[in-house]
Amino acid sequence: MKVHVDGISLDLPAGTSAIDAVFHAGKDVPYFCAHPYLSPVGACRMCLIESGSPRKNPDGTFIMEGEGDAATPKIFWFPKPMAACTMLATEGMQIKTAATSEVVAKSQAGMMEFTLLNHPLDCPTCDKGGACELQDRAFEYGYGASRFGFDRRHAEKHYPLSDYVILDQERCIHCKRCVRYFEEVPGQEVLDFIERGSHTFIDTAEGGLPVGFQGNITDICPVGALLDNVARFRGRNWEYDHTPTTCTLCPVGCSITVDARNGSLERIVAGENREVNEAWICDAGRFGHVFASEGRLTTPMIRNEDGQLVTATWDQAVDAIRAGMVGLDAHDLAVFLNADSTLEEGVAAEAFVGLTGLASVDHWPRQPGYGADAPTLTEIAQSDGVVVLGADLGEEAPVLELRILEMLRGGLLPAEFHHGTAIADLRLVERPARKREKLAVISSKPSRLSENAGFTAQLDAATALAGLTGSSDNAAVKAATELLNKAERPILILGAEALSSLSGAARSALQSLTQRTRTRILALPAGANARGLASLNLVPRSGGLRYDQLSQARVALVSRLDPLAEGQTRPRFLISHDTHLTATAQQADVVLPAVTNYEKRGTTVNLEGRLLPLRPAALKNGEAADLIRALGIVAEALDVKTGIRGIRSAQTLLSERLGVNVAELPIHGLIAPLGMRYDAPAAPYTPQLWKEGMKRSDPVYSAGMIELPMAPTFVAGDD
Amino acid sequence: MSYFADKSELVADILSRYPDSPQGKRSALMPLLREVQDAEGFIHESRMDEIAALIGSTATEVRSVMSFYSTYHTLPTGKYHLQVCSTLMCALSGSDELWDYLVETLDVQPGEVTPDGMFSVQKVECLGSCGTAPVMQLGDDGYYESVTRTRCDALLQAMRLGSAPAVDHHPVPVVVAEDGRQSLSSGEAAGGSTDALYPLTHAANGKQP
Repeated sequence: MKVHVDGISLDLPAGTSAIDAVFHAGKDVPYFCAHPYLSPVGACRMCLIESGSPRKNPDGTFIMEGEGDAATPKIFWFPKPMAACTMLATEGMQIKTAATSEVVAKSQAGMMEFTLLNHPLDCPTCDKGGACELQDRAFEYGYGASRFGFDRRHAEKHYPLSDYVILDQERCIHCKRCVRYFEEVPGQEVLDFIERGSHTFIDTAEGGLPVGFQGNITDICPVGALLDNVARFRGRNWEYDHTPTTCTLCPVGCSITVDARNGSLERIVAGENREVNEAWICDAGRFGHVFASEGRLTTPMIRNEDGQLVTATWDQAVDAIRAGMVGLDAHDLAVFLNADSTLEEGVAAEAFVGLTGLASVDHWPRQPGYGADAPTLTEIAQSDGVVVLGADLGEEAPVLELRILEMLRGGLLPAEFHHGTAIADLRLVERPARKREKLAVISSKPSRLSENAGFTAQLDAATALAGLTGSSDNAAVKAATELLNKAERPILILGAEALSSLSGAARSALQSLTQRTRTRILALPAGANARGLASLNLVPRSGGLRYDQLSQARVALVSRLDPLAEGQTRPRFLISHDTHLTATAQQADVVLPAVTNYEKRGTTVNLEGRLLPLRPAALKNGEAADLIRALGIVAEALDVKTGIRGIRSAQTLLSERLGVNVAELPIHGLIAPLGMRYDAPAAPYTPQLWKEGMKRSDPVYSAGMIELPMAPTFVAGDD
Repeated sequence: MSYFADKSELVADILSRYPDSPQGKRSALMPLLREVQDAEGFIHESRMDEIAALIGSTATEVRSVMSFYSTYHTLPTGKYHLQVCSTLMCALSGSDELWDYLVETLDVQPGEVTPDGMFSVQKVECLGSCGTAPVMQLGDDGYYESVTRTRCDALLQAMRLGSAPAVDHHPVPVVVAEDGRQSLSSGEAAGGSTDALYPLTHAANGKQP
């Protein structure tokens, strides 16, 4: 299909909207209401263009203009400027933007004048200032001066819609993005326009916004009407250091941008990854970052003569470990790391374990897996039958929930152009019909997703699994079996509850089910990088201790895990590598300061098996170091020489192993085979998305527990 | 107290007018709102929740649709809900003065109801009876046309006694004579004059009010 934009000829696929044609040509048109992952509605009327198309005679020939050979098809122009986002580009269409058409330039400036009519001039105190679409577009396309001297509309300002989102009704320009987002993406009709005409404002009658995915409206609001209340007044956009990285709160691995100011993590916004999170992240990922800048451990700590934890140097920490290990050797050491540790830390731990020959190594949380051929998130969104078994996706992998809801509305992934994802994909419609009969959710307790499912049952996972692979009297289980049988691309999602109850018999029954129905199985990893770490030998060797057997160990290095808070007792000598003075760290003999995943360089593997890069944000963390360094310290105390001393050597080893240069992963990641999976029996585990310390209101902050027992001087010693 | 709890037949009847699909069901929103307003004079928040549950939607959605129409009331209305047209033609014919007189006489503001529960007032946009301005609408019964101060007094008096006078049924269109005067097809003069409302006594003796 040939389309001409400002004289530039383009070859575009059918179904392209005029706004995408303009951007594909490298031209610009202002817009506020269009959004790549939402239906185009033409609400803001900013994307005006002049357009015209050739017409055909009844006999199928074009109506021509000109004489003889010079004749060209006559272009019939629309009498008035048209909104480009809701107009389909057609064969031979001519489009003029403000660059070539005075009519367009004037009408856009006029529209801008209308939009600014009631917009308050509080840009200097508005958090959006400097990153505001309205501000930028008013500068580019507006008149520059206002002709309106009268009072502006007054409405509710600083009105908290929830704990996380604050609404300023005066700033709203009625683009309807937030309303459409809630209706189309999580399927919750909680926001809408109230009143009409110039009185229109955004509000809810539900007494708040549902926790889950509400924060996304603060990303898509083109003005400062909906603001992130956690980041409010914490910094101006140009003051932030923006670090695009990957979220490691759950195994989905959403693309995020971490905004830090003066070494403090102030804001997280969603990044776009078409294959993973599209443009959405969950509330925990967006708002639950408070711990990264509050009460961090910045130096190593050791016990003094009085048994008090005091700050120390790394050398003193080495000495303290060496002293604690007198009479013990490396085999007495147990190494336990968090399952959100990077692959680099994983290979370092694996190498350390190989070198010292210790048997007790484990990562947590960890669950048995199932199969290696996991469907991708896009395949799930484009599936035609999904059964979710024994999973609470809201706790285990929230954004997967959105991709499943996308499946219910047809799994339309907007097309891609030169400028990125289509700005207005005309296949996306308002109030999409949802095919709920394509989803069955079976778990022991109701979840958020089950409200959208055609078939639900409250059954324990083992019974449901037996019913699914065998026969069952339960109507929902029967329907789920039917769904898997009938669908062409069926997908079964197994959560923590299902995986922990997966006996050998259930496994083989499941295998025959997958062969019979060609069902693809997604086993949700327990930790953010549990799938990646499972491909490294980080499970107990024979005779080794599991994480839940910590108390039997003589010496343990526990990295970013808090077993003592979970009721375990401490081993004889405990080395804690953590970001905060947790219950475990408080009891430890040596505390090594750790970096959070926001400050790490490394690689993580999401539930699809996609390698995703972590990049370090500029956060103040003192001497905090990653697990590679912590292991190096322990190795030094044990007088062994590790081959992996830093991120570079870890990445070299990892790249050789995976056949992928992990140091230069694209930000959107790539799927690579991970090799064999190391499994070992694991203790049952209850997934929990929001952890202690992620909210500013958490008792850990109010109780003064973040105050570190700082000694005024360093421990007297070697100098 | 639920309004629709004992009216399952009525609800079924209303729902039966629309397609039996989640989208179709939502179409019943307007008649259900109307049903509540006709019975109770306004729609309370609890009723919005109730309607939302009936049509498989949310209270936000119900409030959004409802607030779009100025004729759905969120606040209680009196037995006689008087709506004064305030658009151009009526304004020229003295609707502002009529409104002030009405509000003063009844001692009631928009959104309020007189203590006896009889009257509530509202300013509305063009009622489409410009030829008989100023116009006052009673509930959704009909118009009182050419409402002068005297007529207003008479109307309120009758309403206070418990029976609202019949609304006017003036045939349209009116005939416009050469001199610009309008008359109904019956020959009766149409439209009010500000002279009738406010006799220009000050003009006669050369004083400004």
